[in-house]
Amino acid sequence: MQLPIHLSKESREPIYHQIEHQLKALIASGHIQAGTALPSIRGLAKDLEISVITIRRAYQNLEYQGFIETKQGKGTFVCDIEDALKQQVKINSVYETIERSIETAMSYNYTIEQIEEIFHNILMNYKKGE
Amino acid sequence: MQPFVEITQVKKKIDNFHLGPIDLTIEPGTITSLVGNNGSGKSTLMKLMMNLANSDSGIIKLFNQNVSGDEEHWKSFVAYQSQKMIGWDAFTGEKLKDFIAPLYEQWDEQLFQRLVELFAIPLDQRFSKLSQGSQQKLTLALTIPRNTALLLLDEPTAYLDIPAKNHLMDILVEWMDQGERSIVIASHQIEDIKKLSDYLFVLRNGEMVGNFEKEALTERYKRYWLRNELTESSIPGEVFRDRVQVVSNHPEATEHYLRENGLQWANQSSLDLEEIITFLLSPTR
Amino acid sequence: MKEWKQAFWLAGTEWRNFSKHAVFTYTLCLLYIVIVFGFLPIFEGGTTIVGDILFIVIFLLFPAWIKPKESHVQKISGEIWASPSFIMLQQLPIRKNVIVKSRFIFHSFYSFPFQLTLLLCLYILTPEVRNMGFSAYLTFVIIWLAISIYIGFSLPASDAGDIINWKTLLGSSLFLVLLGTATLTLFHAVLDVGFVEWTMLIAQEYPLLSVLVSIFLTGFGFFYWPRSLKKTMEKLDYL
Repeated sequence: MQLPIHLSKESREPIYHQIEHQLKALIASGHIQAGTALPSIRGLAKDLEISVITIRRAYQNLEYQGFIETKQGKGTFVCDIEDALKQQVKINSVYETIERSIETAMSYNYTIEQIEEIFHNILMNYKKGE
Repeated sequence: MQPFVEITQVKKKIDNFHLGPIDLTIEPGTITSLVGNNGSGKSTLMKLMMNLANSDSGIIKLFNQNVSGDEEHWKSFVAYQSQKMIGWDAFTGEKLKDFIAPLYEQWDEQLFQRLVELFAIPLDQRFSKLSQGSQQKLTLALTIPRNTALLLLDEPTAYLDIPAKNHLMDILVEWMDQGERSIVIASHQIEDIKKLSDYLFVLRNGEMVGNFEKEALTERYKRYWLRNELTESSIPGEVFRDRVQVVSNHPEATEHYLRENGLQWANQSSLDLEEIITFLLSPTR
Repeated sequence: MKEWKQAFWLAGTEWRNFSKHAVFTYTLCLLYIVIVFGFLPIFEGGTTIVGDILFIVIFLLFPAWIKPKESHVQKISGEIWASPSFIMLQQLPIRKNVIVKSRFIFHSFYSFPFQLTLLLCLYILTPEVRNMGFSAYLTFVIIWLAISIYIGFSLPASDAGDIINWKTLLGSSLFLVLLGTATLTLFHAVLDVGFVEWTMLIAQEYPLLSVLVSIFLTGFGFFYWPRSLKKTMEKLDYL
C-alpha cells in the first residue's frame, strides 16, 4: 500500500517527526481505517527513500501513543483510536500547519502585524468564496 | 544481537593502492551501500570479506568467525555475487541451479522460479550465450533465493533494464522482511542507494571516509544563499562556495558564525544525496 | 567421509555438465593413440628420446586436454591465473578441503579412464609390450598409474593458479621442457635405455620392488599435491 506521505527535507522538523505527524493525521481523518495493515518498515523506507532506522523511530512513537500496533510475524496495523484523540490530532495538525506558514513569513522578515493582515485577507477571500 | 560482520582495522596493499584501515560493523536487519569512485576498493573489501584475498593486517569476522581461520561454517551464511561470475560460462541456468541450490539449506525454489519468470530468463541457454543484462538477472536469481542471512552484492544492477531494477528493489525489500537479514551492496546507481540503503559506507581511493546513517548524512549538509559575497577565506563547516552560495557540512557551526558576524542569508536548502556523495568523494575538501 | 561424499558429488555434477565434450575428445584421443602406437615403431628396439617424449606427453598431458576449457588454468584478472571452475567453487559455501578433493577427483574422472585405455591399447597394438608377459605387464600398468598420480596430479594441483606474467610463464615452461629432456637424455646416456623402455625392464626384472616403490610414491603424491593446492589457495589473492 502506498501512503500519501510527503516529506519536506527543507523543513526544520525532523523526518521521523514528519512521518509520525502525517500518519497520525491520516489515521485521525479516517483516511486509513482501523485494522488496516501499514506497509512494513522496510517497504515504507523504500517508498520514502528513508532509512529503516528513521521509519522504525516513527512507528515506535506511534505505537507508544496507541495509534498502531505490531503483531509478531503479521505486520503493523492501525488501532481503533478514541474520538477525543482524533479531535486532538486534528486540532494539532491545523495548529502546526498555521505555525509553519507563520514561520515562513517570519523568515521573510514580515512583522506580526503584516502577517495578521495576510491572514485576515485570506480568510476574507474564503468568506467571499462561500 | 551479534553483528553479522565485524571488520576491525583492516588494511590491504595492492601495488600502489592502499585500502584501509577499515572499520565496519554490519548489524542484522540493515542494508549498507558501499559508495566510492571507481577503484576506491569496494570490490576488494567484499573479496576480503569472502576471504578470497588475505588482508595485510586487521581482523574480519563474519558471524563471529574469523574468515581466514580454520572454521569455515560462516560461508553457509553468506551469498556473494561478484561483478563477473567466473566459471559459469559453460553451464546453463538449469545446470547452475542444480549445482548451487543443494549447497544452501534454506534455498527458496519458489522465489527462484518467480525471479526466472519475472526477468524472463532462458534457463536452457549457456551463461556465456546470455546478454550482460540476462547474465546479471540469472545471477541474481541464483543468489537471492539462497536465503542466507547476509547478502553481498557487487554492482548487481549495472546492466539491468528499468523494470528489472524496480522489480529487484521490491524483491529485496520483501526478502529483507522475511527474517534477520542484511545486505551489503556496492553500487553506483543512486536509486539503489536512495531506496534501499540505511547506511552509506563511503570509500575514497581506498581510504574510509565513514559509515553514515542516510538521514544523518542528508541532515548534515545545507546550502545557504547569502545576501552578500563573503570576504573571509573560509568559514566553519564550509565545503564549497560559489559567490553567494555556500555549502556546509556543519550547519550549526556555519549558522552560528554567520549570526555572530552579522551576515544574513536569503535562503537555505538541503542537498540531494547525489550531491552529498559528490562532495564526500571530491579529492579536495 | 562426508567431505569425500560432497567432493565426489561436486566433481560428478561438473563432469556431467561436460560429458558430451568429454566423449568427443576422448574418441579423438583414442584415434590418436591407435595411429601413434599402431603405426609408428615407437617401441621397436627400445624407446628413443623422441619416443619417450611422445609417450609421456600423451600419457600425462592428454587427460588435461580432454578436460573442458573451464577447468584449465587461464587468466582471471591482472596477473592472476587460475582455473575458472576452481574460482566458482571458491565462492560457494564449500570447505577448502572439499574443494581440493573435488579438483583431484574431477581430474581422475578424465585421467584414469584415458590412461587405462592407453595402456590396454599398448598391450593390443605393440608386440614389445605384449611379449613382457601378463604379470610384468600388470606391474608396468601399476608403475605408470603411480606416475599418473605422483607426477600427473601436479596438474589439478595447479588449479588454484598463480601470479603469472608472460616472463614467468615462458621461464617456467622452458624450465620444464629442459628438465624433462635432460632427465630423458640422462637415462639414455647413463643406462643406455629409454625411460619407457626402462619401466618395462624393471617391471620384468624387479616386479616386487617396482610395485613397492610405486605405492610409496603414490602415497607421497596423495599427500603432497592436495596440500600444495590448499596452500596456494590460502596464499593467493583472488582480486
